[in-house]
Amino acid sequence: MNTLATLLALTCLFLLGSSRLLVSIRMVAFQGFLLGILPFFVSGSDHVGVAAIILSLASIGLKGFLLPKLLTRALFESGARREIEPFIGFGASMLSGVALLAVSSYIVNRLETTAQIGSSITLIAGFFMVFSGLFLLITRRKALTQTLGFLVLENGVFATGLSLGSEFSVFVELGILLDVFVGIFLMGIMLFHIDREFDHIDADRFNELSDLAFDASEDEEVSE
Amino acid sequence: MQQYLIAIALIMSGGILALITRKNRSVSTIAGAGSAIFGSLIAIFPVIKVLFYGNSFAVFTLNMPLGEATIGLDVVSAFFAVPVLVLVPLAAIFSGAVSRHEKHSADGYWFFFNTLAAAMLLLLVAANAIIFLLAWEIMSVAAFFLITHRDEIATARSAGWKFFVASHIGTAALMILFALLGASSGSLEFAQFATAHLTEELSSIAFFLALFGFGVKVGLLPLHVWMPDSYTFADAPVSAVLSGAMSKMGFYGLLRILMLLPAPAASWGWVLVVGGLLTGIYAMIAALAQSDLKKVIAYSSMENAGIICMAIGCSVMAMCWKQPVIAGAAMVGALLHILNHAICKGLLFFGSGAVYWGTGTRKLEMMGGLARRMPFTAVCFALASAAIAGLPPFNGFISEFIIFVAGLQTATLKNPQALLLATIILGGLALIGGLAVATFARTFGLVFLGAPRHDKKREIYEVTPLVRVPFIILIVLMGLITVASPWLLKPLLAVAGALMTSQAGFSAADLQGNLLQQPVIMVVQLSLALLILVILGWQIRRRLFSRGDRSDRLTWDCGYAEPDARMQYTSSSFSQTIVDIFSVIVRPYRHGEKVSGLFPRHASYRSDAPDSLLRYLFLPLFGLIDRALLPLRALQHGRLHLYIGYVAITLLILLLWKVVVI
Repeated sequence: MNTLATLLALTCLFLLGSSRLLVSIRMVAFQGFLLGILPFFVSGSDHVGVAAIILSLASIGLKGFLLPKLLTRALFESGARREIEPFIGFGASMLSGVALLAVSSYIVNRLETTAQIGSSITLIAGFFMVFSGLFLLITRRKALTQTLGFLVLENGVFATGLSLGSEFSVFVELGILLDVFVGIFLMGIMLFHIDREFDHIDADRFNELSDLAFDASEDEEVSE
Repeated sequence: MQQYLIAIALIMSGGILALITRKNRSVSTIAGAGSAIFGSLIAIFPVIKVLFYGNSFAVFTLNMPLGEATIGLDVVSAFFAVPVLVLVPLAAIFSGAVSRHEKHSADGYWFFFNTLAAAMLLLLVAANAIIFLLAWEIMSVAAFFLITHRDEIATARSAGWKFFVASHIGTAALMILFALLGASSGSLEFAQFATAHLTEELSSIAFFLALFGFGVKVGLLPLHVWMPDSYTFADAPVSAVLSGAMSKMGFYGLLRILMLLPAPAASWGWVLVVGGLLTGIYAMIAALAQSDLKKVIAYSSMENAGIICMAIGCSVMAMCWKQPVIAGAAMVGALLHILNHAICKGLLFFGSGAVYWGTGTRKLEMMGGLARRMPFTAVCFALASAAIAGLPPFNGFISEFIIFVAGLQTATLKNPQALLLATIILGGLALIGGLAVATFARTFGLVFLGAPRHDKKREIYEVTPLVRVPFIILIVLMGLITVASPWLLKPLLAVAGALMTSQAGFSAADLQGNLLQQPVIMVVQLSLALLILVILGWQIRRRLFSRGDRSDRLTWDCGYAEPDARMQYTSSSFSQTIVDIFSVIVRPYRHGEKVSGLFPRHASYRSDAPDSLLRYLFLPLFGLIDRALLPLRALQHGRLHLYIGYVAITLLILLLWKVVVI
């Protein structure tokens, strides 16, 4: 289980440092696959019930295959191949990733004194995935990478839930999974439309739509 | 108490029903106005029981999601419920009767009207800070929507925003006040506030916060800027409710807080007296320079707020000096004036509504000679003007007389401060009263007397019989208060006693109402005698000496060959001498050229006086704040990434903070 958690953290670091969108998508797919098999290792084999199997299959199916496929199609449609000029460079991103990893392990260490935690390494990985997902959302220009960031964030929530290991978590996870699926699906559809309307999927240029750009001129005052 | 709560529920549900049926104007009007009228009729019974028979109703405890809250109806609440319960149904009748003839839609009007009424009634029984603030906010928001009801007019929108900003700044002060009181007493119940042991500084801070927060609604001098515009652009019946009832909630709150705080300091009284004096004088000078009928009436409400404030201040000072008789007289004067002002202001605003309905304008320059076309409205307006200016045979005189008595009694104290106070009150009241007479003489003369200036083609009709009902009821109430004022003193003294027992230790018996009763009875007798004399004289003149009268000439005929309506006094020229004296304060705009030579060419002259405090204090101040806050605009740049970044950083900091703290 700890091995899996470490692998998850490593995929995140890789995502932070990679500029190739296709490789990033595959890495997220791999992360989804890892998460899919994580439930089997949670608390011994005696807990593996039907729900855990469904969860695992659904997770692998969605995050490992379906969503990456959708995103890959979006990628080919938009013609973008690489993430160009992120707000924070790839090297700096990886360094920040390490810092975030340190922060998450600090948080988990502090939490361990007060709460019952199933597996601290998985929890660290979960927090780290949440943080790096947010980091990707903030620092990358392409809407596609942002979608990946959102996916990583949700994976982090999933892993955190699993590491806290309550009995109901499986059902909660299934619910979240459905949410994520719908969310990513919508994002994928939106990406097509954004690409068609704007000729690009650079999220930092979306503010062309902002109403701040042309300040509201209220000249249509009707006087008495 | 149940009756009172049922009334609130009825009014509110009527408002919701009116909102649902808003597509059908007549159904919506019947639901809204009907529920407001019936609700008020139901609520008047418990109020009268409390006020006249001294019943006090058991305190209700409500189980709220976050703890318990109590509501209760005591004499003070009951007294302040009277203006609400008088003006709300009358305004509903007026509005319902007039709205049948209007073209623009009534979307949401009745909903907000009934919400305003219900919120005011709830506010009065709230004995818990949370419910009080909740009702206060609902009241303000409903008033905002009523002011901006005609939102196609740009100036009405800006008036609404002024009200909104002012009222929220006031509410912020109230929130700090209640947080302060809550922190020092450990509870948000009013009953617990009274037991809190506040230090002198802390209670002074609490008082001034209350004065600021409630002063916004009352319209004290620097905080009045929302008032003229809001009352002008709200519909006439709404203005009547806002001015007669809603702004009285400010006094209710102030007195309620005074009840809960420990014994008042002399400085509070001075601030109230001087603030009231300045408010009254400023308001009347500004009113004289206005050229909009409703703005004049709005400034007059500010003036009356000033008088009431002075009386409350005098009462507070007397409490400090342990003079129960003076404190009682001043407070009774203030309370009676609140009641009188509500009634007269209702009449005046209804009258302005009738005039607007008849002529289609509010500009004084466009009116004149309406007394012939609208005799009923003219008579009502004249009576209300005389009453609100404090002229003898009417109710306004009696309340101002009682305040004068309090001032005179203050002068008998062997204390130089008391002498100063008496001078301020007597001199201030006299000055304000004189200016008020000038203002209302000008207003009435310009609107109803003289030759008509309006478009000759427009037919002007008198109000319909149904619209007359609220006028008649208010006139009857005016007469009733005048004649019955000696008997009204007892319940008013009970209210004043309730206001003072807790901190000053005066009981109702200490206030010695019988000392006040004698002069009031005398005043009423003299007033009636004066009234009879005037009527007698009028009848004698009409019957015996009216043979030579010519009524087919213009008023300002003066023997000219071709008299013209433009030859008469205009709104600017009538008040020019007074406005010139005070032009430092009013700072009127003047446009036009001087007429010179024997055969002058075409010339025009126009003057206007926007509120000088708004122009020279608030607009620059808010401009400064705006510029100071401009850098923060950079935070709202429309960049999605950084928005997500704000969220992420906030979450991270919260998480770390929580983790580090444990």
